[in-house]
Amino acid sequence: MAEIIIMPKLGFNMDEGRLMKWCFAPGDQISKGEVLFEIETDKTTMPVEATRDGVLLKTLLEEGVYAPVFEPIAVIGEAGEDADAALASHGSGEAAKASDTSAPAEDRAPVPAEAAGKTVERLLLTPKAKKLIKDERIDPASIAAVQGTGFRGGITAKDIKASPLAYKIAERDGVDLASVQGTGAGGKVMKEDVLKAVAQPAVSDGGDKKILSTTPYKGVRKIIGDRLAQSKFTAPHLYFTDSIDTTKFTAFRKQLNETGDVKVAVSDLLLLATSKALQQYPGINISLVDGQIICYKSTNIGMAVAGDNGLIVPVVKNAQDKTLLAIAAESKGLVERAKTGKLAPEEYSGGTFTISNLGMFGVENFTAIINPPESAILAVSSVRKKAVAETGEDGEDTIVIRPMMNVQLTVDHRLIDGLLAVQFLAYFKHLLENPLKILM
Amino acid sequence: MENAYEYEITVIGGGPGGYVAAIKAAKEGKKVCLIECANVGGVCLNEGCIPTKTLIKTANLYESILHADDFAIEGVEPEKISVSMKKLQSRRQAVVNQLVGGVKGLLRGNKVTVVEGRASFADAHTVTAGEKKITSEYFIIATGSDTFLPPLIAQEGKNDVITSREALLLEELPKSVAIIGGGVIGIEFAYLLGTLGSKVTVLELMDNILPMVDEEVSAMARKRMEQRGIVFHTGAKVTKIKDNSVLFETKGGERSIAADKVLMAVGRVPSTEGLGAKEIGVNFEKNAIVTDEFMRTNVKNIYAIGDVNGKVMLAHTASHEGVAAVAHICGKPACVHYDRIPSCIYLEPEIAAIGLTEKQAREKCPDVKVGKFPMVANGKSLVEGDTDGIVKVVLDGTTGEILGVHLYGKHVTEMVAEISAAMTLEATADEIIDTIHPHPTVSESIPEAFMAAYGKAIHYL
Repeated sequence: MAEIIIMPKLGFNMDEGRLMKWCFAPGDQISKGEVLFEIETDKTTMPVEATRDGVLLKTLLEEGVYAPVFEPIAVIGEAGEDADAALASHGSGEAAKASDTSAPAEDRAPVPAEAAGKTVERLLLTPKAKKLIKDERIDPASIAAVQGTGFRGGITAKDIKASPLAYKIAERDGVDLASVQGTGAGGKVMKEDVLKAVAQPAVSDGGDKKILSTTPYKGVRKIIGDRLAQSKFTAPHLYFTDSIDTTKFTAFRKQLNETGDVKVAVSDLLLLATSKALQQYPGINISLVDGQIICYKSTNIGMAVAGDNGLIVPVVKNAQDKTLLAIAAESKGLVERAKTGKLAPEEYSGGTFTISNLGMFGVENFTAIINPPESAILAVSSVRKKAVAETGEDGEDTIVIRPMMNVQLTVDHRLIDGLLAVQFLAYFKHLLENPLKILM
Repeated sequence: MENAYEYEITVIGGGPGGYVAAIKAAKEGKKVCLIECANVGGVCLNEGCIPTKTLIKTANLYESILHADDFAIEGVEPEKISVSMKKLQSRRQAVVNQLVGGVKGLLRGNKVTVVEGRASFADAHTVTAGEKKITSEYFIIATGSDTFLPPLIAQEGKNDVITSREALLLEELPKSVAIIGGGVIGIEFAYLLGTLGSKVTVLELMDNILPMVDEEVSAMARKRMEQRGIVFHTGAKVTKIKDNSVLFETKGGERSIAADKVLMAVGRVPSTEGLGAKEIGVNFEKNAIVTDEFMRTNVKNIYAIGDVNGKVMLAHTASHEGVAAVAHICGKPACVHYDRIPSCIYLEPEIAAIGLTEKQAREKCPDVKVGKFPMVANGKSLVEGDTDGIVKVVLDGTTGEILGVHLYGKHVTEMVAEISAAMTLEATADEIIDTIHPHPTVSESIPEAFMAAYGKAIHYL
């Protein structure tokens, strides 16, 4: 019996996944347990195993294309079984319909040039959206390019909430429906709404500005973007900067690495120092959850990493219970997986504090945005030789050259006041300038 | 919420606009009063829509019976079949009474206080009706309209000029009748009286009868009526009625028609006599109360709906305007889409129209597609024994937007609601074509007409 393989929902917030790689081609024999395909979720790439033996009869999704969770993406069965029949009896016969729409698609007027860039990639197809497509008999060709293999491509529920006429006018006049405010029932975009958008077009790209590339704002980028925006606009951010003399810190690290087998990175020391500072000032290690301010015992510290798909923050959990070497070993693996997009969900969630270290890229000072639901974040900048004033034992002030590193603490002022932030930062600075204390 | 006023919403006039507004307001939890000077149901129930269609029903049946032989029914001798006007009037009254009783029941059931009397404004929050004084936070004026004898048409000598009100009460069929006005009312009476046996002449000022219907379609209807002996003079300006002769000017010169009765059906005029609205500062334009898109007058707490605002004089329009006014009062503004109001003309076969005519569409839209499907190609029409008719659709060629649909054929007054719904949902030609219509029905002709607009009709070459 042929079996339909659907896009798996791998996370609570996962609405769609991107098929990164098929590990087999149609016609291949597969065994239960073998990795059949890899999908990209909002954060990372996950392998998905075949749940049975059989022949991969048909794949419905090309590599690199998005599909909503629960959508059919492949058919497995016995050799020679009819994949389309299985698909037809699955759900509402979407596949059968879709293969018909590929023909009329050619008859339709070509999608205007501006809209053409916003084809399948831009659109998400949620189950709700799917229902709306069926209910409102939306012609897929009027919204997105039709896949030859039968899958309709992605459409957001928001995009779909438009009357058939609004769709046609949008297509004719090159209006991006996603940007139109709908005034119909339930926020549906109606003809009037589209006509208004035509009359007052949003800022256009193109025109005077030559475009280098156009990428859809979606997937990981969008999720990150949305979260950052939400954080910035919800929590009143309060900033505290200090400069840290890293002379002793650098020497300490050098010494550690000469004696040990496990290499300790700067970030490992920063992480442990942060953990200590959070234990000293737990009022920074908090979250506002459902109207409660939860103060955590665990210092789960995330290190922001620039991954292939954007910012990702692997978390070392319960750093307060770990030795420096354990942290060093753990973080090495985490960072590697973060960079290649192979972190497991539990590895990038559950943090209580984040460190963002851009020092290696060369920056004087920068401000980080709090990573919700955390309440504070530490931005670490580059070490630079600076002229600083020092008071000698004789009480005389002299100018000396020291390797100074700026750190900036951002806190959510709803929950953390200036005094506490300053105390935390001062203690952190003290630890770094007296690094032996990090291990005590 | 002040309790300074006795009622939250008072509706003046209990016709299809007024009683619907009152019930809607009650359903929204408001304390409602309805003031009516005659019978609830207004003109629509008592001397308009319902009575006319009741009489027309008899005419339809009479016509059908005369052709009973075509349908293999034997024993019917046409010369022995006749219509009793007296009995017809009884039937009309019975239907009207039942419906009026029904509306009364609805108002009672919704706890609307009904006050009998003619309302007159004392100030923006107070009206008097007979002995009673009624204060209300909001007023909805729904006083409707009245028949109209234009002063420009002089009447000299002894005349028997009636309006639709009297025409509906006729207990004897006039031998001949001259109908001034080729609008819906004039044409329906022409059909009614002509079918029952009067000699009918219709005089219309414009070049076409039934202005809301596409010219091609109204021309077909006119031809059919002419085949049955009704005489039309269009482009005819009536100047005088003298001793029951109607004098009129056409391109061909001055002419006159003599008739037993002259039916004046040139239009209706909003009724505001004694209302006192002008006196408290409500703006009028000619005889109609000026309103905005939410049915508000210039006086903030006073709304005006239905025929009295002169926008579109149809019962269903009045009802929707009533609902919109109440919605606005309740803080949920709703608008009435005047470009989607269906009109129905109860001839046989029927006419139904919604939206723009082809001519109107071409004035507004650069790329107009027209699709036509004749009823002669529709199986059910043939079964019904009447294949006169057409479905004509007018579309925006660039998007398939439905600009107008005009139907002429059996049962079309029941079919036009499909188009109304489609236009509300902003469906385009594609969606209508995709909609499965049952077979065998006359409604199947609708998607065929849409397909025809693209040269793709299946049941017609």
